[in-house]
Amino acid sequence: MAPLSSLNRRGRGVVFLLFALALTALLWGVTFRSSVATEPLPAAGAASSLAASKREWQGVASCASTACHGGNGPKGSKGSEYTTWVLYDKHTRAYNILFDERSKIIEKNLRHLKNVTSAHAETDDLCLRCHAMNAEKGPQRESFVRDFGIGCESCHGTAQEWLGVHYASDWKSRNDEDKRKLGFQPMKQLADRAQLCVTCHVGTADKEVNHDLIAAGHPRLNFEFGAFQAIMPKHWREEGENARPDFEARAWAVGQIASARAALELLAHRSRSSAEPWPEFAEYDCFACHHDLREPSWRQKPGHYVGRTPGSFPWGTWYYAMLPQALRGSEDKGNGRVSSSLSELKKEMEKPSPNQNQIAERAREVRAQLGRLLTEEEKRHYEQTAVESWFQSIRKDEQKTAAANWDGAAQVYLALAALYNALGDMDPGHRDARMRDSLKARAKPLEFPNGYDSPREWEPKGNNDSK
Amino acid sequence: MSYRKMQFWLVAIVGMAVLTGFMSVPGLGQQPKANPGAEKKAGPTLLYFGVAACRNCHTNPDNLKDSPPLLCRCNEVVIWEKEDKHKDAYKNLSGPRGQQMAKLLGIMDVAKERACVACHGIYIPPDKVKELTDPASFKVEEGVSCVACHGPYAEWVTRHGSPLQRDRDAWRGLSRQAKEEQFGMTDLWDPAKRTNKCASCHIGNSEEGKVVTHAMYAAGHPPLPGVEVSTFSDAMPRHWQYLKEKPAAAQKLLEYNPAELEKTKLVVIGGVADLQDAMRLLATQAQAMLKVTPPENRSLDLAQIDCYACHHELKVPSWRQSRGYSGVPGRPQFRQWPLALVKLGMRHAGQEKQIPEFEKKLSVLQEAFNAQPFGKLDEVVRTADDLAKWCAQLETSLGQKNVQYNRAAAISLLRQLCAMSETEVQDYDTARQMAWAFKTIYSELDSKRSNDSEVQAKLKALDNELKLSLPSGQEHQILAELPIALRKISDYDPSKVQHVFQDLAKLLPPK
Repeated sequence: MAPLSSLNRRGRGVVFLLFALALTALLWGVTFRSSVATEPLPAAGAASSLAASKREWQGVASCASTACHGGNGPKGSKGSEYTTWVLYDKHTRAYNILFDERSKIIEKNLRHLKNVTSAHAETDDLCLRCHAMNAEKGPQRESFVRDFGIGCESCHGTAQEWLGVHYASDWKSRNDEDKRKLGFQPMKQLADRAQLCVTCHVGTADKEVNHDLIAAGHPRLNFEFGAFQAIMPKHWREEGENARPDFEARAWAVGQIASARAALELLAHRSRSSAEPWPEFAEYDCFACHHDLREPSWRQKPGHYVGRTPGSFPWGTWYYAMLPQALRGSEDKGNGRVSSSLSELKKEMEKPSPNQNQIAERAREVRAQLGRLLTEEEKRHYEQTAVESWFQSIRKDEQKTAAANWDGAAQVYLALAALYNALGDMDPGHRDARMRDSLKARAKPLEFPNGYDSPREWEPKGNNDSK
Repeated sequence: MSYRKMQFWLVAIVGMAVLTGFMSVPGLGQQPKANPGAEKKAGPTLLYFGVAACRNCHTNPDNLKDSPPLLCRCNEVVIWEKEDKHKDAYKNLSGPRGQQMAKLLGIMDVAKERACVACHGIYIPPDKVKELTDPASFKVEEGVSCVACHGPYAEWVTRHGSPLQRDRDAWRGLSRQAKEEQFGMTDLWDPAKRTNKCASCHIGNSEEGKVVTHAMYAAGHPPLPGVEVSTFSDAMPRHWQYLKEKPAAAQKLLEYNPAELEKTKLVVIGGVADLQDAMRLLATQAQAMLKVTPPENRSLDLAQIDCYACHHELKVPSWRQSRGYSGVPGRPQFRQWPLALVKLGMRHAGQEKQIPEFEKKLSVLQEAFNAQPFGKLDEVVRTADDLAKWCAQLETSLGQKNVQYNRAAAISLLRQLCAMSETEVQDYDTARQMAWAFKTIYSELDSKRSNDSEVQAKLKALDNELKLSLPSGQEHQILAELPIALRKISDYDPSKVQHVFQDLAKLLPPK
């Protein structure tokens, strides 16, 4: 570049102007933008917070001030999100439960410790990844404590970069992509919400409850998004599209697809990883094995072992039982392909020693198909007649789904309950005492007896609805 | 030569020919088909006789009034036919349970299926029936009949039941080993061989096609329980007598030593033979599985896994989770009950110092099941085989003349059983083995002891927890008792059994 002295006055002016602009831009950037480099956009529904978060955790206390989210107002009211959550939500217990007797037994069994006194689940990374904030021990504010369990940032995203801007007037007008760049996890869309929940409640490569852990004492993960969301004490209000009365029906369908998708990703990981046991028992129907031997046995009745060798393991009885119904709204092509891919997968998984490469490939394939269908389902809305016929179709289909095992029967019940709730929201006249009672009667036999984590007395029965 | 002389010689020759012919004609009640060439082959000739071949002598002692037998009562067929379930084993195949299993497994005819008939009767391949069975007596409907246990060979059947006294005397003079090796009569007096024979069905034997698979269980086959040979023999009921029960003359002939406790000896040696058979089955099953194609079907059959490791309701709290796991939680192990009495055997044989080595081998096998769900097959083959060989040498040691099974030994064994309960948490079948062993050994001690009634009360408590009584004889049916039996298994609480054993320890006579 020519020295300034050689330029004419006009040229010098241009250079000076450019320099000034550059300086302004630099100053603006420094003052108004975070100095921390922004993270690449996390993939939808991805995995774990372990994925390179160098953002500083602020901690629940940061959100809890009376002026912000700790308003002490009525349950679920605006401004009292923290109040609602801390008083009613089980997620608050997630960390402290690691100090319980049962957690100690799990830790002792899993890590081969001599006794429970030397068992400290609260220091075990495997536990912390689902049961605590900042399990990966990234940067955290001085006031951050773990005792709040699964707190605000676990779902809403580590707050360092968005804390200061999320109460500004322009926050609501920003789109989701921009928010994500700051580490914020948008949750208005049901698909986003479900995909976040499943990272712990179904699992991922890093956050996995497999049969080793279950045998050590950990409860089984059988997640159902619609039901779990319905009983979670909501610290928010549904708005916009979600405020429409078909919400429960949409939540159910979206949740089923998101859960199945997460389960398939987990299966793909399990089948490829040499560190994981194979076959992985948690992929199969728990109660196909975990039942007392009985005489007489309903499993030996004709019709039970149809299509499989007596004594073989039924695969995927929880996450995939209702998938065909959940995909009812999609175009036939998508639905048909998913069903046939799943039945191929099932056939392979039910062999004594399933081919790991084939499983990984197929699982990834179906997962990709479900990804597309999930995006579609999120946008779909249902009229009352559609939900009514959905309800009836599930009941008619029931023998196929629920006949053979508790998992299917439970999933049918949860599906009917979700659609019944949607129908009630769409038309209060649908809040029919008879239907409600018959749903309750359906739920009763599904309950585990006292002292058991398995359905000791359950047997497949005929359709017992009164309608 | 004169005409007369020629006549004489003609008659003599013809007469001798006729006599020789008669000599080779079947004797009293026997139908030997053995051709003279048979003796030239190595070992005895396989030939399956039916009960008819034994009936004439072994049905009624009056038959043999003129030459009463010394060693047996000769009413064995009566006992077996009237009281023993083994007789109905084949008929059960056509019962409702057999038919249910056939439907679920896609079997055309269970009565012709090797996997069923090998244990429930005597399986002869259809094309070998003519060659291998005695047409005058063999009937597959007779179930588990005489030769199934005593040995299906022509030579011993002919000899020991010969109409000629001198043949029978010669037979008596043979050693048990000779009887078995040369003539094919299974030496069932040997506790190890007896156990092996029982276990061939009651645990399983790959070479003989006697294997209950998991698909068979799922289709309805009652689960095979643990087997303590002396208890099971009594429940048959046994058609033979212990030396103690025999008449004095027989005892003298057989060199009976009243200080030797026969049942105790059977418990100890049988306990080791149980493990040997279990390990052989495990090794052969794993071996066979290695050859299975495609590889997706290559996994140890679940029947080789401990049933109740999986088949239990998930109780909270769980005694398994409280007990903890020797390996990775949730990886089911092979069946554990055959291990129950082995260390007792080792100590009794003076091999206490080798226990750590045995335990090391055992832990290698356990590791094979920890490393991979249902076991790393090649490791399983190797180590199970190794353990089977270990058991074989232990059995031989325990059978030596210098190893005594006297009162002092019995009391020591009882103490060890109680001590086992203190250090380990046993599963149902293992606890049952221990309880049966205790009961049997104790029964051979002097029952006039002062606290006998207290001991009996404790044994009753064990019976209550473990259902020690078996569906014995023809009166009690396995399927009829199965609901209760399975309930006991599902309700099993190891701590209850441990307490009873601790109480029993205090009631034992001093060393």
